[in-house]
Amino acid sequence: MDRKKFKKLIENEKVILLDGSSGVALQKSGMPKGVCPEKWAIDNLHHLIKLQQDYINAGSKIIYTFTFGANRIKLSEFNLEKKVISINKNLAKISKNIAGNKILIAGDIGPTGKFPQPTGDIDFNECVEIFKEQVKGLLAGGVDLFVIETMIDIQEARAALIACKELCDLPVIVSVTFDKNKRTLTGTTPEAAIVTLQALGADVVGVNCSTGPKEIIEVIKAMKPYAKVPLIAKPNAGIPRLLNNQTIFDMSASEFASYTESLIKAGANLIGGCCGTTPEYISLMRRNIVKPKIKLKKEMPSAVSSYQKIIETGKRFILVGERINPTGKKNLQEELKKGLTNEIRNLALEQVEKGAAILDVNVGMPGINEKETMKKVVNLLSTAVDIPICVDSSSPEVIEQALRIYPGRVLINSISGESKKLKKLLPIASKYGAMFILLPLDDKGVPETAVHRQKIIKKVLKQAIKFGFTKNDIIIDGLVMTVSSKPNAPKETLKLIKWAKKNGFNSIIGLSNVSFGLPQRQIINSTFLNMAKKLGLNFVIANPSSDFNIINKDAINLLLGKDKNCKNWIKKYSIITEDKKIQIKSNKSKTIYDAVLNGEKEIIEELINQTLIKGVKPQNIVDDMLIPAINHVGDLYDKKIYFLPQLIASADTMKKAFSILEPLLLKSNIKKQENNIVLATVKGDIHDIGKNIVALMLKNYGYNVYDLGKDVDSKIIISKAKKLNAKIIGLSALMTTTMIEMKTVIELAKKENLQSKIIIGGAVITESFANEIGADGYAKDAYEAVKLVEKILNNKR
Amino acid sequence: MNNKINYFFNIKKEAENKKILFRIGYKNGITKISKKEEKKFNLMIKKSKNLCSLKGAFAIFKIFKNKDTIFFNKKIFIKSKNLCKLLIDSEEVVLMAATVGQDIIKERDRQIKNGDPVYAIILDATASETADTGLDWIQDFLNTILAKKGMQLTRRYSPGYGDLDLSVQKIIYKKLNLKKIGISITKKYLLIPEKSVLAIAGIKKKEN
Repeated sequence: MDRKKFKKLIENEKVILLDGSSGVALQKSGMPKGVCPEKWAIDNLHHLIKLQQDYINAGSKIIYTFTFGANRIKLSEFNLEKKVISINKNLAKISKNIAGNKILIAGDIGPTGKFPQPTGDIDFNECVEIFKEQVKGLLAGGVDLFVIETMIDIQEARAALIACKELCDLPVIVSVTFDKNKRTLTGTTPEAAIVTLQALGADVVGVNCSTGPKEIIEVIKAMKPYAKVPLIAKPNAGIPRLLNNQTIFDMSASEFASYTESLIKAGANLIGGCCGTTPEYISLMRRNIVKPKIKLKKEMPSAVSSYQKIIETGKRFILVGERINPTGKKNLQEELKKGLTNEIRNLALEQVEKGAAILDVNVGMPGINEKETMKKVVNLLSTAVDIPICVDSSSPEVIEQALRIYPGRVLINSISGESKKLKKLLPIASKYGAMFILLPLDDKGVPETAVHRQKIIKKVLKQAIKFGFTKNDIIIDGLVMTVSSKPNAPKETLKLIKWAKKNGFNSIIGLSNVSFGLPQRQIINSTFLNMAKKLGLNFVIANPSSDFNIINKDAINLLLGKDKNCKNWIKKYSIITEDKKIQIKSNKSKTIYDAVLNGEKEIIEELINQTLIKGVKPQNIVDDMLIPAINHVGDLYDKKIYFLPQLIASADTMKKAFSILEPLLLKSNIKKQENNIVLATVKGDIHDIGKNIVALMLKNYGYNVYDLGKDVDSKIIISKAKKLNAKIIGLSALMTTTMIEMKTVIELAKKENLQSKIIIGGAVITESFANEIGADGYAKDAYEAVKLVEKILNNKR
Repeated sequence: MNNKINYFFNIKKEAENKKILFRIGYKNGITKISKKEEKKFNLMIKKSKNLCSLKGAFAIFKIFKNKDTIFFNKKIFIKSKNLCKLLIDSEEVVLMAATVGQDIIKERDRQIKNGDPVYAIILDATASETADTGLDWIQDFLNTILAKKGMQLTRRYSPGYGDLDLSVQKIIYKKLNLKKIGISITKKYLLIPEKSVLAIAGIKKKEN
């Protein structure tokens, strides 16, 4: 069956009834648990023949081959990995024989149980090859179409779909499994699933397994507005449970079938049952079928997708972040040369934070393998951010690499009218269902006028239509040129944007070019963007951190070609210094006490200086302001009104205050605390965040803290404490295997007659353990530690 | 499913902000934070999450057990009454691991030494919660698969808790070959990167 015929069949039939569950049904026929289902079915053929015959008698028009787990990875669990082709071929042939000519046989492809990259450890292309092996077997068995089902990861569904498409031109149904929150396990929404899979060439998309029919109706409803292709719904008979070693589904056939009309009305054209359903369920479903008017969209939605979600044109103005581009970024260049991607991640996250809806990705630079780098970056961005990407490269190979492995629908930047590139890129874009930016230049170069550009657009469109593209898939690049060298260029760009809007195209501009070489570029860029938006521009490629709210009259004149040689602009705006007023925060109303209480480290220095100027003595600042404030903080922490970050913020503010006051206190001959404290995480333990917080707190109470770090040998702790005449030794341990080391330290201290008090703490430490090993005290957290030290040293404040 | 090891190199699951704050003492309805502080903490959490590179692994194993010991085979076994109690209805167990990688730990240590200690605490809590979220994700994945067979996972149990000795980390480490996701183990059975977590859960019939 070819794809056109299949589409026609669905349009004529309006609703096509599929089969129900096979695995669970064969278990009921005696298939034991733990065997290879496909092998068992071949060895016990009469059960499979009866089941499929029963489905046909119940009214199923498409029967799935019993090959759900017949891929190399699944079969290897039964040492049958070398039999992939023969098992698939056999089972397909068997079903074909049962079905005869009137019933279609769909070669069933299920998940491998492993995840391809970027989530899992299987290389995406290897995953494609695994599915190809199964597809070959099914083709040899004579299947009429394919069904890729129960996919919990959209990337694995893509791999299976590509495998089918690269081996044949038969129709492919792709059916995904969603949880009760309408997400796949890797976070894909129904909207993203339909946009991604139909663009990649699926002939039917939908949902199976998951939950019961009621929940699946909602998934179909979510997909429908974006569906160009028919939808499939194949729910479970509710949620299963195990009773006497049998999987039981509680939803009856009549209750299941009662959802038939709702599934169809929600938009499903192919319906059937998954786990727990039997020929009886399908038979009852048939009775409830209503035949709606079928309305399939003629065009793909104008939308791109990421692993998780879609970005649709027309809903809002779309900002494409331009920052992932090594041009002019030394750090990024260095990183890419080393094969690192930290800077890419930072740039991506920063742009998402600033409002980018799509990320432009350009990794072209000398000295690197652009294709490999693109692969690494695309894999990173697939999971690091949840917005789609726009692949920006001059190399068709690099673009294809990105399109193949990205788990969503990509935007290509760009396809021009240059004949060689057009010839290479249109088939690639078509194969992976990408949207593309149409750059209106050709072999003759960049046309100066909007009219000439329109001619190129029409020429490219004509070619693109041959590959199945529509205007929805295309975004016209306004081709922004620099106003300082071509004064009329912005006007021509604006004309083209207006024309694009009038002719039903999306349009985009790369903004920053327009102001190149001029002062105050931000003002020109923002003004130009706002002018273009008024004429219908709906995309921009720009730095999301820019201010896009400025509109300036002089800039308008400049951009409309009314400022000859940009003279006025240069004269007026070159001499302007940055009009940024440094706003000095007025801290008049704040007190030192409040600043500590609120953990406002950034204003404490100014407040202390103001107070000192007023003649307040440093010691009074400590005694009357800082210490009461930190005690108040401690009290709030005790009552849990404050939590740890607030306690630390206040302590850190104290630290800063002390650092300012310390030299003055020394000058005034006021003695600082002379209590030395040694802290360490014991030998064998590498966890020291808790100990570090204790150190910070104690320092802020004026103690001399000597932090020996983590994994410290008992001998070093004791010798250091001796040398410093430490009043206190604080020990920390996080794990049960390392806490016993504390006892070693205590015993050594006794042996050496050390007078230091030893206090302990850490996640696994308890008061009773402290008593058991002879410690002088235990503190459950940093603040308790401070109080314990104060108590031991008899310091009352 | 068999005992082949499944690795995940990019688990896309974020820890919940509230759970991160709970880890460092936030109490619902008691702790009071200003709008300014809330904004500051949320921004720090966001930055912290960006430094997590959540990876995971799991594998399923058949077990035999008596009152206080579960056996993978004659040589490899785990003694723990608590675990035996948890696995009372299970003939198979899942060993699982998750790690957030080294970047966030490095940043935390940098911040506590020379930067902002408040940020250091948020980094630490985010890393801990994210590692646990990785195990949650693996459990969700397995439960999705198991539900089709009318099965489910028990709750998970980690070495170092109750009577399950920390040395069990070594058994799980070896069984899952965790070097592959960048984890190493010390002589005292501590995992590096520090925010790496291991657990064991049983597979049992789905409850009604």
